[in-house]
Amino acid sequence: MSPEHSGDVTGAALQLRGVTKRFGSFTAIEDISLTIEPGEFVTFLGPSGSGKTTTLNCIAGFEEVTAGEILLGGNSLTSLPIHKRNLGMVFQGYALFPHMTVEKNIAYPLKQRKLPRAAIARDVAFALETVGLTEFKDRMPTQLSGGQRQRVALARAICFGPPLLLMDEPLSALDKALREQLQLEIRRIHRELGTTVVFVTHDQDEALALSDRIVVFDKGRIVQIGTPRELYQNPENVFVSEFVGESVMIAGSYADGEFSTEAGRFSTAAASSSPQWSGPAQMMIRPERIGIAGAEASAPASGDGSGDAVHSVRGVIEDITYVGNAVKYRVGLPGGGGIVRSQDIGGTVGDIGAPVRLSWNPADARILAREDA
Amino acid sequence: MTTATRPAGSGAPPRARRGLGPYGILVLPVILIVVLCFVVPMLTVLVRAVTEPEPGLQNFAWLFASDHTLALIGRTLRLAGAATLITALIGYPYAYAMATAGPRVQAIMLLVVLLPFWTSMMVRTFAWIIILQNNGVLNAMLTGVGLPPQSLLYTQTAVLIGMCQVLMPFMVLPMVAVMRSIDMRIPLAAQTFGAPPVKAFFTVYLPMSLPGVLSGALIVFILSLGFYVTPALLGSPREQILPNALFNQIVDLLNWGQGGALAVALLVTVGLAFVLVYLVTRALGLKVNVAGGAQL
Amino acid sequence: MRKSRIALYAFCVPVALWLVAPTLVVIPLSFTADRSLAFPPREFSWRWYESFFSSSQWLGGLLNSLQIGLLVAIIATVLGTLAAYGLSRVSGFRKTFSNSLLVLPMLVPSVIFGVGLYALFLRMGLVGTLPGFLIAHTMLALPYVVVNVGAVLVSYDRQLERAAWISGASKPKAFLTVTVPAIMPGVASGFLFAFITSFDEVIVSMFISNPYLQTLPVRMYSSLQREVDPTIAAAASVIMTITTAAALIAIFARTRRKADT
Repeated sequence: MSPEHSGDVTGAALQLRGVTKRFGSFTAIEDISLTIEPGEFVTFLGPSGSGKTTTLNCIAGFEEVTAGEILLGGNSLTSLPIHKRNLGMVFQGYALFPHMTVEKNIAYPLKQRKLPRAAIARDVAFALETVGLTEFKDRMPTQLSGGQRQRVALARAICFGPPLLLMDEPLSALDKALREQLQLEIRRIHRELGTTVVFVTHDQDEALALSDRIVVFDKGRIVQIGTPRELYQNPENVFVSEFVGESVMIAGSYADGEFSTEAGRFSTAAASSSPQWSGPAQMMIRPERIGIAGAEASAPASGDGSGDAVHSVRGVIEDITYVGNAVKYRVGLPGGGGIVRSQDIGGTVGDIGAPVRLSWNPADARILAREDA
Repeated sequence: MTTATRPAGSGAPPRARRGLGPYGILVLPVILIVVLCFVVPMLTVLVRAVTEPEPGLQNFAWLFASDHTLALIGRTLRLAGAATLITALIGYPYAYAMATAGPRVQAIMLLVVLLPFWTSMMVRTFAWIIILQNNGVLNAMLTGVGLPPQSLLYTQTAVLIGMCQVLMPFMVLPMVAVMRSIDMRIPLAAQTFGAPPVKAFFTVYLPMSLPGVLSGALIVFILSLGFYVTPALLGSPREQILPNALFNQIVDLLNWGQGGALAVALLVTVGLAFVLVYLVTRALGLKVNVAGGAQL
Repeated sequence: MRKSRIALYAFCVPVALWLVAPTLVVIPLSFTADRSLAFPPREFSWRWYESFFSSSQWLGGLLNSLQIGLLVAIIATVLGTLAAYGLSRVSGFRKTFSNSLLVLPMLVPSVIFGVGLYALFLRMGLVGTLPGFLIAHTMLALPYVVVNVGAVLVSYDRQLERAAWISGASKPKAFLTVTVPAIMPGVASGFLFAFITSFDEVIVSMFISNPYLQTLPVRMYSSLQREVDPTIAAAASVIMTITTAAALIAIFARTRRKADT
């Protein structure tokens, strides 16, 4: 699944086995198990307090695990002190040493490794070139912009060729344009160096843009692991479907291949997954898979929405957002609602408050168990 | 739904450490040294008060039976009370001016109020002797404008002038801290509801700034109890206060028992003032930083 | 509004004069040619400075005070910085207790501490010795270091240390190469305040000094009780120059740090 690395894979495999961390009686993460392949770019995604940062801190060694084991390249990290773990890390607030120049900051990990002077100079020069800051090497961190500081932090983390690079929300302090530019750069550097990367973020767009695979955290547990596409198209639960991307949700109940709601019944025979269980459920459709039309337009196929060809339901426009190439409608539906995306081709479906009809291909709907029920 | 960007912070809960931990180990030796070199010497004073010349409470009986010692304690408390009142009365307008001034004036006023605290106590006291003595600066100025000369040196007035000078930062800084947090629109609002400015000040601003006055007053009171050099050099030997009597008993008279009892009396007075600080601040929900003066 | 502001400043200016000006009278007086401390001095002369620097008691006192002050500042800075650093990482009762204990010497009347120390030192033969002075003054100077270093540690970014550890520095090495430079302004002002505290101390020093080892303030105190001689004014000017310089450096170290952050 991971894109081709232009350089050799220098990263090591990371394995978490049943990692648990408790603070007193509070369980921050519980039974976290996952395997990351050498050279893979994996993002930990989740809301604040979901355990993603605690997991990262356990890998780095800032937190001692309560139970479980962490292996890097087959060797246990768990009992190794932080400074012997040989990891690179980029921090949220950059954490540049304020009393050292850019060059000294980058040389710091190399000096700790007692490398000869020439080797240090060579590696620093390489790292500076990689992040494009060669001419800034004599500046102090306070003389740099936010983006430049983050590049220095990145250079300091990669200059000694760590088998694993940890990144803790490294872009959250930057504005959107800079964030996107640095995302591209991080991807390029990852490709060039072939190191394994664990990237923590609460920003779903960032996770989707960067990752080979995404690990979604909620309430101290992993709720789903998958490629960005898998998570977007086949979320396994309501939490993932809401956290990753936008969607239209309709509440109802599900039994025997049929989803019933206030607005009607929908057969799920053609849906991408027709679950075996029955009970309270949500039907989820991604915004770009939904057609929106004025309410007076006739339903594409069967008027009551129970046919197999196309599902449709009536709703009301609650909000309209113009996003450039498309128009986003927030539509209220009986038993639910959500965002519908429509290409901006000039015409308009209606104003706020206007009745509309949503329709979608039954294959694009997903039935998810309702957690609150 | 958490898609909004979140500012700094990992969201990890506060940690509950068990045992000393690696950082406690850094503190422990220093704590031990302070206990050994500071707390233990003071405890030996207490021990001596009840063991010399023989075990028993006779030194405390002396303390409470003698008019001389009771007058001593009374005078010490009065002096501390007077110093507290004076610094409060002078400090309040000063603090108000400082809290409402621009950053530049504020910085200068801070420097001014702190300077006596950081210039040598001996130099300061010596300077007051030169100024207040009979042929000193003050009288040169008074006679220069045709006023009668004053004989101020070796009086309680001289002691208070010298003491309050160095106690000012302990009164002013807590006041400023509280005043800065007062929203100036509130007294203005009182005025718009028809209260005249003076009334608005007394009914609104003063009560709101009272916590600062109170914490400053309590710190000043505690510190006033321990003054030695200023009363000894600027005051009258006939109007001794506790610290000076204590010094005489021990160093000049080698009377460890009664000296120890005086030390205990002083310590207990300071301790009671502390308890008062604690109770009042807790009742008012305040945070008093007794170490404030040490910072800058 | 405007008028009341003027009234306020009319009150504050004399207060400021009372706070700052009196101390300055010692400077002109130290240059008097007279044998008395009468003010104003009638003639200029260096004679009392000559008297100060040629007297083994005065000069000896100055050198003792400088030596003790520097050593105390070093010891108190090391101990106080470690304690403040440790305290910034603990919480709850232990923190409250340790903090209170560490600032205690600032609040307990020094006479009581002096008496207790005198009793112990008499028995241990530490009266009038360098170690005796170092112990006494370090206790009194420690709170200033703890408070000043503690104040910078509040705004110290803990991530810096983590960045050093993950870069391969052991905890002690990270502390020395990253933490100490970052909290240097607080350490420096703590050092200077510790020096001033020791250099200025009279009360406890009077208990534990003897004719063989006297500090400058003690020498000044005892000569103020006996003969009054303008050499004291020269001594006062010397002390004032040294402490004011140290205090100003410390205050500027602090304000510059504030400006940085």
